[in-house]
Amino acid sequence: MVLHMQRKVLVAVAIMVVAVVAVGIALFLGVGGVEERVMGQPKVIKVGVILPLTGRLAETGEDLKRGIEFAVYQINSMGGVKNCGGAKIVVVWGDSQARPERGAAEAERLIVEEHVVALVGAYQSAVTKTASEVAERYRVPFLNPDSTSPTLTERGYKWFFRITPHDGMFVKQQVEFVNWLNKRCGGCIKRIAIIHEDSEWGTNVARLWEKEFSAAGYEIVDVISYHAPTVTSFDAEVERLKRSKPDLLLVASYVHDALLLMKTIKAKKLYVKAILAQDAGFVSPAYVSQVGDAGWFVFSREVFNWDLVQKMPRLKEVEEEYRRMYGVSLNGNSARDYTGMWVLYYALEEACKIVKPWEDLQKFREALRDALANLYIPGDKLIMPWKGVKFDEKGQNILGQGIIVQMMEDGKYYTVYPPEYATREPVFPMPSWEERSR
Amino acid sequence: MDLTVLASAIVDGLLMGLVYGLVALGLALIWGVMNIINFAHGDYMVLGAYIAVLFSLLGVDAVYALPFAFAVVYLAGVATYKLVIRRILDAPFVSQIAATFALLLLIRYGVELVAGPRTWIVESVLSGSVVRVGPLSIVCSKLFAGIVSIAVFVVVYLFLTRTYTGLAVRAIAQNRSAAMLQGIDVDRVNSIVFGLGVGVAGLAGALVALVQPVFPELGGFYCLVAFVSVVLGGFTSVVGSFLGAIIIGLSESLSAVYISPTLKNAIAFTVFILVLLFRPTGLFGRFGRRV
Repeated sequence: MVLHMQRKVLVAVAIMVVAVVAVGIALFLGVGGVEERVMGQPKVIKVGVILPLTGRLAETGEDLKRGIEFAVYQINSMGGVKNCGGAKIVVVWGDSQARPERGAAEAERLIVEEHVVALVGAYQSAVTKTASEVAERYRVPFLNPDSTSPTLTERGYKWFFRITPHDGMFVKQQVEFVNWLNKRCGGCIKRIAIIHEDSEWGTNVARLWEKEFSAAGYEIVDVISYHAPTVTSFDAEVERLKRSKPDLLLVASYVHDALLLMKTIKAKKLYVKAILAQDAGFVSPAYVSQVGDAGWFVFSREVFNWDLVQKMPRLKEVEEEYRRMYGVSLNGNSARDYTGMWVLYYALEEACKIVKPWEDLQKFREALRDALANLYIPGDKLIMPWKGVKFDEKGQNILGQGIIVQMMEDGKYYTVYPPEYATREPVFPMPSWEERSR
Repeated sequence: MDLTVLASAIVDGLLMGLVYGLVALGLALIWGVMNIINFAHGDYMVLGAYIAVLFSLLGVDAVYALPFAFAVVYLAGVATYKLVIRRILDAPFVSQIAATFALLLLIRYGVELVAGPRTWIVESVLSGSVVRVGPLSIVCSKLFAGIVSIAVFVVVYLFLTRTYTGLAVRAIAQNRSAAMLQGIDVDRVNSIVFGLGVGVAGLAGALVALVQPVFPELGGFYCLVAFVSVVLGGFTSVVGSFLGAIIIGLSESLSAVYISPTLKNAIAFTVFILVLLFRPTGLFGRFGRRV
């Protein structure tokens, strides 16, 4: 028995010795490898990117990450940041887990421990808000390619720059679009009804719609809100819309409620001249693949659409290479984050003329901030349907815009507005349900 | 014109209420017989809904999914009883809550793991077509769901009142020890009751899938409605909870038309609070003792 115990101890000690030696060798080799790499190559510029890489938005996070990675790959293979001696851009990832407090913690870690020159992210407006608060405090530029809550650029921040248009700009453009439609039918749109989900997003959008459309002289005949997580039937809502007889119906919905609403509208044969949706549920893959003919001829605001490649030669090139690499197409999310990284690149080139990040990191961050503030990128250098990138004093890109798409009878969305990007003429007014069943 | 709106609101409320009733019925049954509040009830319903989704994906009309939804969820319920519920029958109340809540999490996120967080629409011959009764247009699938709900309710009612097992169920509900002394195999009857309770909810889930899109968190609201219905109906009464659910459905749809769609849930629950203020034993408290 005792002998047996001793043997066990011996074996354990032997295993431990082997393990320690193995780890030692691995560390030695590893460290040596790193040193060699750093010495043999030009310096790098570290950029922190915060995205929801895990958690309930992990699927979206994956898309956004691809956009960033692809842009960095292109920039680096074109010779890196030339004014910094061809320094390669290295992304240090921060995972927000789709939670505002994680976003802020990751921002702090990237700034303090990883010494990044700037932060990019963070998709959800709520996370962008907390993460950019940290950046503002540490005086680090925060570049936001993908959050649309209007309030983000109303905080008077000096280090915050947003590339994407926000919801307020989208709504203004929707008013222009409806005016444009109205001209085509001799002013047939007068009465507007709004139906929206009642979280912060839907409520905000509905408020903006009410304000901007009544300012443009339209009559808001009904505003209906509903609670998306608990909605089981839209029969009463649709009956009510039948009574208020709007010419145009504005909708802000998530996925399952959008599906239920459109199916109910079809079943109840509610007819309006046009339905204009605010992105979100209406452009999600689950909606597009399942709504069927109930979704035909519905307009939606978008930031990006597959058919833009026909109108934008620059996008066509990028899209082809992207498809080759990842096997999927660019979408509104990956395309915006891709654009974000390129915008940062142009600013990095400018900042590198003044100071190098490894000479004085904080000075470089200041130079980068100034470069962003003075930046102008013309539209033809971008893959987004924008007039370009130029930030106002609030840090908002004033040259961005959305597009309006319409689902046609093949179940696909086509760009119909603005005219310079349109691949189809809008079908307006919508054919009646009787005409459609023929 | 206004009469049409009223009639259509009543029809819609009634039909939704019948489906709510099917979910509530099982909750009341389990509560009444085992004195266990099944927090996972709505998620057993979702299991049934996903069986309809599966049928639809395989190209089979989802209407055929109904018996399978019942059978699969019934078996899942019996298994749950044997593995979990039997062990907590005499446990403290808090342990019972924790156990059924754990079941809720397991089912909800298990479904999400397998089917993903996406939303599914179930296609059927019934969806999209409409029955016209005078000026009213009623969506076929909803009408079907309502009719099936009534039929299932009648079957369950007959089972409880006209069969030997039903008699045993009621005996256990009244007094477990006495039932045991009479030679009733309480354990076996309990497993049938739990299977039946969640199985009917699973069937309701397949009906829900015919009338609205399906996603993993769908069960939460239905479970809430079921709780309210059960309380309205006098806590452990199967008939009362079914009627309670119809009241919820009606007050939802009527308030949506005459007050505001925004407030439809709030008003349904206000009715609930008012009823409890004036009849703390629920609307059908006394009637419920019997079934």
